Amino acid sequence: MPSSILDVLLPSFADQNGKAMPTALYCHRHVSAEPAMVVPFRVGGESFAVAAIAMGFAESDFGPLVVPDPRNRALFFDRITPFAIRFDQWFMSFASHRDEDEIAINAPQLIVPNLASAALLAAVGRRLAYINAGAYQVDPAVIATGRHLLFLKEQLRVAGQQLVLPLAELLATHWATPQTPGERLSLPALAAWIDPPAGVHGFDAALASEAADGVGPIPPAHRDNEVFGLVESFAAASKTRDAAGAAAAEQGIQDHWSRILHNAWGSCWDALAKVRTLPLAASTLRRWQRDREAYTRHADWQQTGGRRRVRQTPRQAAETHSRLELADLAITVQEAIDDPLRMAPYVLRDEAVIGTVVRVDPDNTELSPGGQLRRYPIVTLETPERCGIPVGKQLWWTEDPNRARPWIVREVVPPTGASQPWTITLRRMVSATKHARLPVDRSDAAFSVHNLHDYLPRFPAEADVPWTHQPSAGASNTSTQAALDTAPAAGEPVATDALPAGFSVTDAANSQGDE
Amino acid sequence: MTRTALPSLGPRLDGIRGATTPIRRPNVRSLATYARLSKCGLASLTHGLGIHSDRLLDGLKTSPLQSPFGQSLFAMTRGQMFENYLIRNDGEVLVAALQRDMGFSLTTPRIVDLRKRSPRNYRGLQLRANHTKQLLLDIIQNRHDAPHLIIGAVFETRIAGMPAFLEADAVAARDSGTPRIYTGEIKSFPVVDGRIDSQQLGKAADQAAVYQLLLQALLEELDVDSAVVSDKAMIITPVNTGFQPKVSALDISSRVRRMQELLQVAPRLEELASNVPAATTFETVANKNNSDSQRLDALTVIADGVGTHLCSSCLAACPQFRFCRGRAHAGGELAVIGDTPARILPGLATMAEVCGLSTGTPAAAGFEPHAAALVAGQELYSRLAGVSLRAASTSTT
Repeated sequence: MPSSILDVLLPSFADQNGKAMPTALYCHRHVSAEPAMVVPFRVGGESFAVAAIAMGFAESDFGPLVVPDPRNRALFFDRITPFAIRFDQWFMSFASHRDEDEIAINAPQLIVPNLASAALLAAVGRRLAYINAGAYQVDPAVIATGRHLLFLKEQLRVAGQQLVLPLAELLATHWATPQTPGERLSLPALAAWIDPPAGVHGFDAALASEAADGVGPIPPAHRDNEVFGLVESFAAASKTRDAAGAAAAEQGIQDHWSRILHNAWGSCWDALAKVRTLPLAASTLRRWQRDREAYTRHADWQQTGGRRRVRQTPRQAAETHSRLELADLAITVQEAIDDPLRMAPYVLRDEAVIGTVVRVDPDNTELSPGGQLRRYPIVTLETPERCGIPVGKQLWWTEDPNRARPWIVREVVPPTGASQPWTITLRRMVSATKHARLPVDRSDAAFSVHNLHDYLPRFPAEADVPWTHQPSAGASNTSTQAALDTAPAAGEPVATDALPAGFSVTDAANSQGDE
Repeated sequence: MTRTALPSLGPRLDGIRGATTPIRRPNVRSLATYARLSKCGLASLTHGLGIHSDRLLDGLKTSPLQSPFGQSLFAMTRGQMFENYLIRNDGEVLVAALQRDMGFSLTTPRIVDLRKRSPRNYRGLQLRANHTKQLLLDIIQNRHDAPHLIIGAVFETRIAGMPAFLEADAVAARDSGTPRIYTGEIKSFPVVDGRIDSQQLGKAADQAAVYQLLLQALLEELDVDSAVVSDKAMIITPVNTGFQPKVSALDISSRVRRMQELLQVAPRLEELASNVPAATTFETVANKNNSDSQRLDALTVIADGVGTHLCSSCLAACPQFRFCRGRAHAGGELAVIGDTPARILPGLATMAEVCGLSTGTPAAAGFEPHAAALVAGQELYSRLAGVSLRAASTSTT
């Protein structure tokens, strides 16, 4: 959504009311009937291992898994195995039920606390998928799970995908709160603002929720420091084969993480329940179809050996880039078309009008550019909002946003007196048949700049890719410099629309064999 | 760091700091962090006085206003392990990385590890600062025994009038042609498949920028053209899931300039102190024997005197964030939403003003465009969401 006055107005009213304000009438992500909740935690500095993780299909289905010393690689691979087996079984269980087009009827949906948790799972996947089989004996499910997680990492880059749902970002994009962008990444605080206890102001509810340890993936530093000694004793005892000492330390570590995980677990299910109070937006089902297709491709690939190129060819990279861009565009358009509140910023920018149809003339005939008489339907809307859309502007009816069928603004008439509406008349730009679908008199209708098309760019064959797309030699630092150039500098304001539609954890190109 | 290590700043400033307030000698991390808060009077004051602001509100009994701050021991030990791995055996791993990634030839590398030579105390830091100065002169004069790599170089500087010693992980010099000096920062967060966490990288680059400023200042003091300092800083990080290092030479010149500006505009300590009411001291704030309200009231008096500046950077940079946020919220300030309001509606200060203007409160002269935009937004939202914001507004105000 573009930035608008609502970005200040709604948080201000939220503060005045003591409660978050909705920024959507619908939930813009599909929520499965039985998704898997996965809540991972890690210790500071260990980016590729979880210290504790919980997976389950209901709040009561809580089984924490703890890795007593996540710094120990062999131990990590060993202790993560039960999780990996369960994850792999669940993830592949959707693959065999296909529709007539050979697409899986349903797909697994993973719910995580926030994008940082998704990034941790991606990093763990990065490690598990490329375990050196010579050095470590692991269950095949461990490697398979690593590959599933890498697939999900790639999927996360697609704007509007629904196989992985990060809860904090989901709440933040559906409710406005008087918090800074950074605070809005905290799931418990955000949830407290959305649904504070009766008689409690959202601010106080959020403050109280911050006293807890949060939903991860990194607990507050003082929690790490509480368990650090136990982990060190566990490591020392394991080294000297002091089984009793190791077991005692492990029990302490287990208790430590179980407490933290249990609180996070409850918060996540509460948040999911809040999301479920919203009806699903119309386009979520269409995108779920894409998600099922992506899942099916992954499952098929997995069953045929699971090898893939380590690095994309220039042509593949261009295709991926184009696909991501189109997804990015489509989600903006779909959300605006599905939901009046998502269209509101465009109305304020004079790029859309939402009103009541007061006249439809389906049989208006005019001369076509070719000089023949053709049918050009005319629609007139009334709206209470000031309308600054210029005459001649092309708009699309939200019920039929096909790029090939724009409407032209023919006339904008200001109100004739106080509390009178604005009147906007549009004519279809290309001629219509008798059976063309048109707005119905006395119904609500919206016209906007948003439109969709089925345009797919075509790329040259691999052999014909021009030389400009070959990577230059010695460009090894460019990506790191680019990362630095996008990092906020000291004292600079932090980007406020900090929630990207798509999300890139790390690059698609994977090099093999670090373990 | 022992208490005696902090020099006196004169009776007035010492009085504001208090004798038992937890203190911390400024380090590069605190300096780079402070650069993000330099518009804030309270942060400038605690920074300038050397107060350990992470611990200022330690041990509050019932108030949740202390933000959790500090570093994980796991992260610290991992950082230490990575650094030790790089510099063990005369830095063989680091030297190999410099040869591979920076194109240094280093056939007979000369490495000086200043940390090994001096005691780890205030006196040791002074010694190392002198030693660093001498070694840099050797490099610039192209002496045959000049080092290629200095581990733990120390720069002496003054921060808000107080001497401070800052320790750079590495300072390296190109060994062929004209001397070229690089500052280096060792960080244990990884580069994964060519990608790096830009937030963490940004912090590391800010720290490197501080060293570059100090290095340039030192060379100027030695009457050497500071152009020998490279615009690029070396950020040394592990690659993927292991410990193999990668040296990324990154252009941080814009950050260096920015850091310089930020640190220059920081309000002067004496000016700030003159706005602190007499007999008010941070000791009252830090004293765990006082009640929560005594401690927070004292902090409020100081904050009211010197002023604060709540912005989006505060959450990640300042341990007093929740305290300031509470004050801003109590005043209904738009700053609690972040930096957006100042951009979209410059000149408005409170959320009540926004709600009021949007529901028809007459606008002050010059604010008519804001009011018109707010009314349009309010009416549109009320209609589309099917809730009347006007009713909400009149019922609660």
